[in-house]
Amino acid sequence: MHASKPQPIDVFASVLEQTGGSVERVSTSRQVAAAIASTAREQGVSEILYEPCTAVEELQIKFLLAAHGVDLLPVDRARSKAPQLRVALTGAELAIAETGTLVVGGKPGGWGLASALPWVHLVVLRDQDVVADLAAAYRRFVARLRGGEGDWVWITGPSRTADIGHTLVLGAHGPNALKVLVLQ
Amino acid sequence: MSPNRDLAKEIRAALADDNLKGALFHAVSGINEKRRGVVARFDEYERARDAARRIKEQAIADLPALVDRFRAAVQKHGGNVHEAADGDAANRIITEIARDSGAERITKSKSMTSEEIHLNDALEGAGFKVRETDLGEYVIQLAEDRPSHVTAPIIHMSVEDVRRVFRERLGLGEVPREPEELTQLARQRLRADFLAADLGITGANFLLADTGTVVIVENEGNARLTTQLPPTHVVLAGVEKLLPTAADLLPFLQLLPRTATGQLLTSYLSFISGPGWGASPFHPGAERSFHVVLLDNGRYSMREDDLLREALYCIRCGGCMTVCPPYQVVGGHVYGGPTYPSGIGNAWEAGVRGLDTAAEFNDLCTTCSRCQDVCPVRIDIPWMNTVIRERIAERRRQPRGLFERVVYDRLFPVEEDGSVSLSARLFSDPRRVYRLARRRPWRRLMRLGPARRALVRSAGLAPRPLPEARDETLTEWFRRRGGRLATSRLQVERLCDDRRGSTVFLLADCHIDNVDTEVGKSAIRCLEKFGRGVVLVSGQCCGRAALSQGMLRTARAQARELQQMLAPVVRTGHEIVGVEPSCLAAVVDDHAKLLPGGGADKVAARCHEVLHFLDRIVAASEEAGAERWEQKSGGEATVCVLHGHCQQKTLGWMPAAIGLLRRLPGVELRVTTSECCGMAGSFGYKSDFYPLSIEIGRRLVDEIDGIGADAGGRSADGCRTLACGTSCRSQIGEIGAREVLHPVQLIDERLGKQGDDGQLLAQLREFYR
Repeated sequence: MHASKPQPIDVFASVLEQTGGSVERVSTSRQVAAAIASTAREQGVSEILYEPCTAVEELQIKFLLAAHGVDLLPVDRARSKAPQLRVALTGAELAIAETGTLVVGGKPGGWGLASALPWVHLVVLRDQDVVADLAAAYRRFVARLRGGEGDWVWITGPSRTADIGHTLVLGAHGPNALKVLVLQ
Repeated sequence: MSPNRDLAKEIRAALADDNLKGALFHAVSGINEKRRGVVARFDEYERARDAARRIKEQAIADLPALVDRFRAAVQKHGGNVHEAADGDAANRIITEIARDSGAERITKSKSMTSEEIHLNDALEGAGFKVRETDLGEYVIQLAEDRPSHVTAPIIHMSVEDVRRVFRERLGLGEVPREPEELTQLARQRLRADFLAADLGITGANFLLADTGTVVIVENEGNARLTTQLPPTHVVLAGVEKLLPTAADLLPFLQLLPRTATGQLLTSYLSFISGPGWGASPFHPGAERSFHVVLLDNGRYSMREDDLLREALYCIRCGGCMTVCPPYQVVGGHVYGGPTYPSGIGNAWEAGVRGLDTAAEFNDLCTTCSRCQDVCPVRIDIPWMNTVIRERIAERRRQPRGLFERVVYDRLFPVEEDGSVSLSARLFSDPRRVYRLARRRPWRRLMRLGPARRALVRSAGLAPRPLPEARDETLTEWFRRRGGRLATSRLQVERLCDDRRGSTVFLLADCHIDNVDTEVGKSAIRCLEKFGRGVVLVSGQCCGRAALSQGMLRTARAQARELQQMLAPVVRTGHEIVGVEPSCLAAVVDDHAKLLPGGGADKVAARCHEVLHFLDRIVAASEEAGAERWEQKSGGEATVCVLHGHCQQKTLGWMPAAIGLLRRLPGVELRVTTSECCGMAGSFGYKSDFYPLSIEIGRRLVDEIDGIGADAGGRSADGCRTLACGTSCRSQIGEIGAREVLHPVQLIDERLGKQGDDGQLLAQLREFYR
């Protein structure tokens, strides 16, 4: 008898959790909206900085969120309001199970700010976009880099520092929390 | 030593600073433990290191072409590439970019390269407001200090130090106590700077030539904000950061975070290939622009230098610093140059500032080689530092005086041109020291306190006991016992053809021959008990001592003699066994570098560390069906704490030693994690370094005692201390006031006992009959 190989998404979730991130599995638009709204409530906000991405757009959660009293504010319309928004929502193009990493960006847009400015970063990830190992993911990534998509950020857990007293502190300059909503 | 710095004084000041020692020890222990963990769990580690090394070699070889390729790719994305011959040129270029873009406020993420060229001073001098945003660099900037580590800039500061900086420099009445609150305080202040900035400056960890991409590796997110918020982004990077293609980055992604901080990947990896899109939301009018400044500042000259070229492979992970024993105690301000700390700092300072700067701290490298073991691109830092030491000495050497030529050259000849001090002449060949120490008039003289003190002072020696030469050398004992002795190439050749039994050639290194003769005797008895006939190769120094003095010519001559002596062994396929790890390491590792193309690699292939060799014999006998050599003794096992010798660890001889001792009946083995004992040959005997050596040694003894106390809660006296190096044994023995054995002495003793039962020895004899 041999143990069945763990699914990439399970590995991703456990490695990400070790870096201080968290994973919530969702399968319906309603669940996604509820998860986002619950984070907004925790943070006491009604507006969320938003970088449009296909996964979220397809779900058509705007109205569902409105029912929760939460508005999505796209980065290009947020302007100087952006730094005051405590929560941001983006998609991810790819995730790497081995390292618990989200690959964000590639295309033009405000993902760079949305992923760096807030206190809580919410990411919607489709489970089929999780690649098991770094080497395979990197090969896919290089193909896109060479194809002209030159700007990306790889995110592995919340922002951190151990500069003071060699004590780990999350939320150094970027998000203090990284919550991944995995769409199954 | 340099007129600018008094290293001995700096060391004493660092040793008196409990705050520094505490902060450093806490941080390096934490980082090293995490690194060991992630490296041990990474199956592809060695393959990734090989790949990374190969890619770096290729990149540096092709550097000019890569610059062209990178420039074209960046331009395609709408960015600009500038080349700067030196720091002044780079500062000028960046100041002009800032002026042209109409910037006033600049945010900066961490960059050692900008420290190298004093970029902040230049920008502030031109009227710009510059804010360092990496938390550690922010504290450094407030305190007007400088980084003491390449990835952990304030590793030398305690929490209290940071609080004081915040209180005094930010004018705060109340400063929070906890790192968490202090970090949040800095976050709030820096957030305002980020939002106000109109120009962002970063360094780069890698530049991908084919796609024109800048890669920045970080954890805090300050490089993210530095690059995303202001409309203008300037990258300052040493030209050596170029990699040929994007695909080449993979092994570096696998290695850099693991080695630097013990992470699988850092929180953020930025890939930036141009100015990005659209107007910056906080600067709606400003157009985005992107500049990469490629810095030479000595790097192209390093590329032409067969020795310093290797430093260009460095990816600035800082791993070599956190494992460096002197660094762990005194930190990067003492052990380092104006910009680059620790072992690799020798080559970098020599390359970007010049040999005189490296000369200010080169003596602090003990060439223990622990850095070589963690370097993700396998840079031979100890060898670089040895050759730099030689270059420094050669440059400073005066012509030999008459007295030196008439007296010293007769008594203690050396190969170097120009004047060589008496102590260097003595220390470069241990045989001289021991021969002298054995002379009766000398001994009488040394019994007189004043004479001893005068000599010790004039030779720059520390007030500690010198190794005591035995009345009878191992060679003499062996001859008296009727053993087969080889003191020349001819004798080695003759004994190679002597087909009696299965012969091994045991190297009588200077230490087991003169001081630790009991270790040598045990090694001989063990080999014999394991069925081997021993030929003792005696009388020739390996060159290790001369090497650590930076006397490469003398070392080369000694190496040549020993190589000639051992050469016949290669032809007949006999095995060579060594006891003292540092001497054996000279033979297997350094001789090939001293005598390129001289066949030293063939001799090295036949050399074995004694425990490694014994382990092979036991494994082979078990494979052939002998009963497993497991713990079978009744009664209580003795706890033994083994401290691995530096080179024994670096050259991969530890697993065999541990495996062998674990199976030794009646032994419960524990192993230390301290990198080094701090004696490091003659280092601990020099008065300038003596207090540092003792501090390193004391930490090791504390660790040993802690392990001993943990293992079964017995008192420290209840456990035995084992160490393979003669330096380690004398250091631990002196500081810990205890007997320290070489493991072969323990095996010799245990095999003797087993022999009384007859079981194990009978098996072995049976096997080797």
